[in-house]
Amino acid sequence: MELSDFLSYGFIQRALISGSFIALLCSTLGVFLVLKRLSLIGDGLAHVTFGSVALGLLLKVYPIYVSIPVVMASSLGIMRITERARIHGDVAIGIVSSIGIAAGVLLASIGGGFNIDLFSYLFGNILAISKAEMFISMILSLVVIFVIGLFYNEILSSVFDEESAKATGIKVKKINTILMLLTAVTVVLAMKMVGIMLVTSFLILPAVTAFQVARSFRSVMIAASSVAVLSVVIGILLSAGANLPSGAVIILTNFAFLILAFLLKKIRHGS
Amino acid sequence: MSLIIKSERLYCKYNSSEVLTNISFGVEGGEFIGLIGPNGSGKSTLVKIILGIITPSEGAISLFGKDLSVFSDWHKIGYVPQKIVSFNPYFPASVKEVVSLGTLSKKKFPKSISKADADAVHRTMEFMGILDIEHRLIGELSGGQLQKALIAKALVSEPELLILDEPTSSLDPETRENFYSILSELNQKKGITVVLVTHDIWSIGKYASKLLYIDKKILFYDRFENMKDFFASNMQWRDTCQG
Ligand SMILES: Nc1ncnc2c1ncn2[C@@H]1O[C@H](COP(=O)(O)OP(=O)(O)O)[C@@H](O)[C@H]1O
Ligand SMILES: [Mg+2]
Repeated sequence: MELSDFLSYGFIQRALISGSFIALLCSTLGVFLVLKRLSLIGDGLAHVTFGSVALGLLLKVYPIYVSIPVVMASSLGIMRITERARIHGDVAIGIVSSIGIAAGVLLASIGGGFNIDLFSYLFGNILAISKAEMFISMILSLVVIFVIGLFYNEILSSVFDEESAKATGIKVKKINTILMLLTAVTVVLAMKMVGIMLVTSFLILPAVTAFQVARSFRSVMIAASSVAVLSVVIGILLSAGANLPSGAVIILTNFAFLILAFLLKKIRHGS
Repeated sequence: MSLIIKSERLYCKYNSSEVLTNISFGVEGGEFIGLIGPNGSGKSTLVKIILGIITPSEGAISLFGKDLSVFSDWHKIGYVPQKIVSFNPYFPASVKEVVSLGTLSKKKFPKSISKADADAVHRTMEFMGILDIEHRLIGELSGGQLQKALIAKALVSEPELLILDEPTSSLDPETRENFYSILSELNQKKGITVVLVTHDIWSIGKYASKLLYIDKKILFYDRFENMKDFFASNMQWRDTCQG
């Protein structure tokens, strides 16, 4: 099949468009999260989403209405644990994430029979995105990126050093809260569309790739979002052409960029 | 003259151990205060309380005549922390970007960096002699260069009060003297009030107008010359402070 044939399919178009927007969104958030040592937060909140979707199905409420508040609260919980108890981010994420999973398993067993619905929420499929979801992904990305833009310098300052940020009058707690809530909404919505695996990797891989080659923070943001979007586009076209699972190919494409960036850095540093 | 820093009966505990007790003092405009004391005596804690980074268990701070809870003129203060708490040596920001963060204290929402700020950043980096490394990543700098970048970040908003927490610990002796003379110049020529936390009391004596010596509580707060009498009557001080 020709490239143009692929591109004429609605589901491929929707995958390319939504995938690119979600990649843009997650990679932008990811840069800050990785620097805050919260790189696994996507995975942790995904597990909480699992628990909350199970709760929604049990209560016969549209799962997202349960997930969004529960995951937002959990993200703030992770923030609180790291601030208050002097516990590292990875531990805080681990605590919240295991409670999420345990609650999900328990609720799923109580509810019986809704395993299929539950799984469709966890393993969203980038090739099965509806038109409505495509618009949601676009709006979500634009809103989140707009908010990050408004607070860009304050977030950067807080991520660089919370204490001196406070001494320049920045409300670090407010900034962290905003970052956590944006991450929570993103994880819940993006997971339904592209699945746990892609959300987690979009939050980490593009950022780490960008760190290899960047010469400034601005260039990190640009490199991370470019790599993320390119990985989606290349990954979808490759996987459709070779009839392979698209999520996996997208991630491996991104990983290839990471290796490339790493080699580039080695060459540049002359070793 | 009005007080720039006023500390009233501060107490601070971490968990249940007292770190600061009954700290009351004032700093007037134009002074150069050397804040000294042994390791773990609460110097950094005091500085962080003054800056509102830590909340004390009791007591009050006023800055420029305003209670800390209502103080908002953060651009009047430049702060150079002892160490960046979780400094990530691979933090991907250029020196120029880091120095630019110092301009945010002047801003209302949304805090963006203007052309005038960029000029101020340029001038400050020139003043600190780090223009040639403005495009380097912050994590690639040597200890001395990093220190200069952080000082530039603190100076860029043209503060009236500069608080530095052991800024010379990673500098070699020559750079250190050079650094003191820069501070002294800022203090004398620009009238900037300086609070300098240091171990290096023998050098600082030359520059500081007053020494504030603490060890959980204030032991001495006076001119350096008067330290001799204090020194004579408190021999143990030499043992705790010189090492
Ligand atoms: N975040 C903290 N939690 C618990 N104890 C602390 C914390 N920060 C400092 N301390 C303790 O408080 C005391 C004073 O520390 P600090 O103000 O850093 O002293 P200095 O700067 O004079 O060396 C020390 O005993 C230190 O171990
Ligand atoms: Mg200290």
